[in-house]
Amino acid sequence: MRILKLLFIFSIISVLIACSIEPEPINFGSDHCIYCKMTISDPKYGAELVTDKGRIYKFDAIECMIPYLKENPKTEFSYIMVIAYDEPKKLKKVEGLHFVKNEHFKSPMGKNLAAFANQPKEFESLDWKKLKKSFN
Amino acid sequence: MTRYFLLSFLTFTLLSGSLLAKTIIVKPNESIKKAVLQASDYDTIMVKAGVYNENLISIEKPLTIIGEEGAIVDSQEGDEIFIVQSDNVTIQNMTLKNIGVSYIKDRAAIRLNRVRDVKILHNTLINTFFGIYLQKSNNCVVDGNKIIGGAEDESTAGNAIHIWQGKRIQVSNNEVSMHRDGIYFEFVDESYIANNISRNNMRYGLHFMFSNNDLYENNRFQNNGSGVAVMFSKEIEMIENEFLDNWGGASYGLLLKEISDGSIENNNFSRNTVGIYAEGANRLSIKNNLFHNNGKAMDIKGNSLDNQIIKNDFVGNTFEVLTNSKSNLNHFEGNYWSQYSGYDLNKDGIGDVPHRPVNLFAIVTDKIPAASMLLHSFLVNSLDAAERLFPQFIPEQLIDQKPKIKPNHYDQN
Repeated sequence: MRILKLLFIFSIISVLIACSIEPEPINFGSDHCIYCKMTISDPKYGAELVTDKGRIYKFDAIECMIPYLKENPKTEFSYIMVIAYDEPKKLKKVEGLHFVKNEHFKSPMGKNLAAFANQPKEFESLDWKKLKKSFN
Repeated sequence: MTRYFLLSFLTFTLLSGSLLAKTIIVKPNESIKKAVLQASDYDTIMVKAGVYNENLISIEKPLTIIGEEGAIVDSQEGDEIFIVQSDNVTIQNMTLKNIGVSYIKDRAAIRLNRVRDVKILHNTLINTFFGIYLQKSNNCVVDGNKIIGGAEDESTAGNAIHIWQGKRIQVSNNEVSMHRDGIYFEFVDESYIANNISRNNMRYGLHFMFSNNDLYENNRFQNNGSGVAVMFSKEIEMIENEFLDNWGGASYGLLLKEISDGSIENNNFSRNTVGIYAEGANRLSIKNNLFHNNGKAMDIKGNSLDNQIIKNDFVGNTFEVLTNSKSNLNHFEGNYWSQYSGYDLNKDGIGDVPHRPVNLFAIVTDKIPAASMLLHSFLVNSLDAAERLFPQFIPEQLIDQKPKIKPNHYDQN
């Protein structure tokens, strides 16, 4: 009986945890890009969307996330996050980041697009809104 | 007259070049970098056995560098070793070790930058980040190298042979392992990949992005994250390769995404989670392949059109074909299906009733993976039989009108 009770409590806790709407770190080498099916493997690039219902979509590149956003205009997202090139592995909210298109940055899907937490001196950058507009 | 003059001038310069070329010998405690600086065009540098702790050796003239057995250059977790910036360079029989991982720079043991006619032959690369990196280079050969990465997790791994923008590159007889991708082609056209063994790489054994008119044959891709990925590319020929043991949650023998006009012939797909996964793959000829003991032999999405799937053998796969659409615009003919349960009364080797390779339960497990626990249960088998008689969910036209009674492969031998 006691075990059943414990199990019950445990399952409630796990359901509650599962329901909280939080982004989740990318597991490089095992997570897959929802858009292009590739294994996410370069810690300098990558992106993640969390819907208002808590569903998580991971991407290997910003150029995979933006078309996905445009194809799903009705979905509400609680988090729109990307990895900054100058601070690898960590996801950051897109607002306030600087986006650079330059051959120097070989992003996984060929768009040469990287995000920066700190404004890079030698490259021209776009903010998130302008970047999104530049995708057609 | 001017023509003769030009000709004799050319022969003279060529001859004098080869006659004057000398061999420089580098011994331990001497510097390869210094020898490279001192050498004249077309000289040969012989590196004697021993360990050389050097890196950033920039080669800016035509040279041949040959290592004696046991000639080792150790970068000691530091920067790149050879940076080739001249045409007509050969690097042969060297052992290069310990390239440091960097997030800022894609360091490679050997980098080729905007050159042509460079040969990288029979080298051994150990504990590299990137192994051999060709950038904007043409007419180069990478043959007989053994490249073993030090990758423990994927985020610290580069690619063993990485080619970014190039034409007419030959990659042959190499053995690559423990990298992110074994061989990576981005914007590489008219190139040839043969007789390589690519295994234990974290992402793909071989990876094409935005590359056209390439041929890969006789390679073995084993135990990688996925075997081969061909993406956003045209006219890629894939002949007589082996795609083995690519097993895991989302592992594919061959992943096709937005590709067209190629061929996939005489390959062996064995023990993969999915043999071939195709999304947006058009006008491919998929012929004479063997699909053996895969979870799903083929997962071909509805946006794949006009593919010819002919004379393949589907043996012992859990599911033969899976798709996500009610319509089918691909042609299946003359394949052998081990799940075929028809008969051949007139003994012409072709089954008298057509075969429907898509299984209802495959569609169910694709949506609800946990349902696979019910595989081979009586309920599921009877549902499946009913679905085959009165198809509701599986595409009606996805049908092999002429299923072979015996496997094509055994017919040939």
